Amino acid sequence: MAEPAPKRRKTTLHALGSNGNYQLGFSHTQDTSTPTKCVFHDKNITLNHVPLAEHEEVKKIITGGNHTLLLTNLGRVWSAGLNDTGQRGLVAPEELGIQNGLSAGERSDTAFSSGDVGFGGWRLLSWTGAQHLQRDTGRDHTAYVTDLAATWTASYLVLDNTSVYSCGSGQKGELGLGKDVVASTTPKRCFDLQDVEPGESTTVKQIAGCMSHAVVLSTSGKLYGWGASRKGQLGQVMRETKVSWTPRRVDLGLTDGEEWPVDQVCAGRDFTFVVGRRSQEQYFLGDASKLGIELPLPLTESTEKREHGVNIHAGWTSITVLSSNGTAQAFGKSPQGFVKNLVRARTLHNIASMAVGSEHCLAISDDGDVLASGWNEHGNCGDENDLDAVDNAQQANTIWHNKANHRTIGVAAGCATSFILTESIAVDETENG
Amino acid sequence: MAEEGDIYDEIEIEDMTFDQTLQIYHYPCPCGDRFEINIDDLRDGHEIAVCPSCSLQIRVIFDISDLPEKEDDHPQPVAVTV
Repeated sequence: MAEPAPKRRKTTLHALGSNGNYQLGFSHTQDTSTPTKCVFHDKNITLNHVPLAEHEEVKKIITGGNHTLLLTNLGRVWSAGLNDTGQRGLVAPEELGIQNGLSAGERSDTAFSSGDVGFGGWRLLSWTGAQHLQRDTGRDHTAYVTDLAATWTASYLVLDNTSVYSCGSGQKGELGLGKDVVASTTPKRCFDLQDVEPGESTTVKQIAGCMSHAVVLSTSGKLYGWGASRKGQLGQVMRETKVSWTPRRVDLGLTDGEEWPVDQVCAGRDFTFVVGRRSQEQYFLGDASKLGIELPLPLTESTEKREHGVNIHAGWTSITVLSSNGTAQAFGKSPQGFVKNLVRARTLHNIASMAVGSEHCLAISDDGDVLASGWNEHGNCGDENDLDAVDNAQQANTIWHNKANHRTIGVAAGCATSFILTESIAVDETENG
Repeated sequence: MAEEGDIYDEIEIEDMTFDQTLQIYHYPCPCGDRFEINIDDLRDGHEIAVCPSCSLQIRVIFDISDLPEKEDDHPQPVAVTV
């Protein structure tokens, strides 16, 4: 008797929320409050799951203002949404079989009448960093993309955990490519850890971007940043210059002997928040009082240890802390007069992991369900009229129920956008293609 | 007047971007679109920038005297004393 065929895994990306520029990765620009399968254009085939090789997994999904990037563990980058300034790195439209390029008439209806599917869905980034990195540094590289981040209209690709390439646009130094460089349709090297920590074996531990600034954390615990700096989000020194056109070391303002290595960083709209390995090691770059954030935050470690310790996440105007006991708590007061249901109003329990968008958050519960809480004008937290979906105990919408053969493996959140990544074991042959 | 409605935040004009062509100041909205206000409206004393895609608004913090000079294609005749 023949061996049964090995079960194949299928990874599916579902999205909901604001979609005016195809940022959810559908073939249309309608908002939706129901998790809906994203469309992937793999060469000439259109799929409603993520095209992954045998040992390939989705590593990260990040969002800009109107574009979204997905990174796999093999360094492949998929993108959806607006590319009007090259923020998706899609620099060779002819490779996509598109005559006029993605930037011309992204929003025009002629995109559909031409019968060209090229304007919606997710597409693979054809740019490969190897030759660029070798030319730029003289070093040999595999030039895998190892991490991603984005601002409103710029994207960052980290190559080999060391070099950061930027593309897209930004009026406030977001590209980090030098004074007055406000646009680059091709990814260019803006930062290299080897330049600032030469001879060290340090690598990029984290990269984070929010509306108009970006920060890189090295494994040595040093923080670097560029972009808008007027609000002190990159420290006091760069506050003076208002805009930081090139990456610089971020001075936490700690006196000698009191310095501690940064362990985690998150970036909000006008601030950066960093923590060390001990709970009292916290530093808020920016104006915490404007957000009503009182420091230090209570980053108490629980005796009931989980796999991960404390995790910090930033929304545009809030910080959410996921403690090791599974409690997610948001900090930051409602800006003046703003009465919507903000992420900061909530405390969630029994949470395994989470993602925080501009003004909402998604959380995966210990059971694998996905909860959504926060500002929901675009349906990014599900359908509010669907009362059955509201978890009253959590005061959040349950927008996805975990299934034994179709489990939740990740969430991502952006500007009123929500993404749910699921993995099924058995291939559903009835799915249309 | 809906000006006192859902004010999401107060934003200093220096943090906004001026579009010379459209003659508007704009600033990102958390929905993905952007808050916009025409410079002439600011000159007229209006201070609420609206997002065309959602209900949110911002109050622009600015000083009329700090706005760029109006480019006038048709300068008023200069009063001449005879």
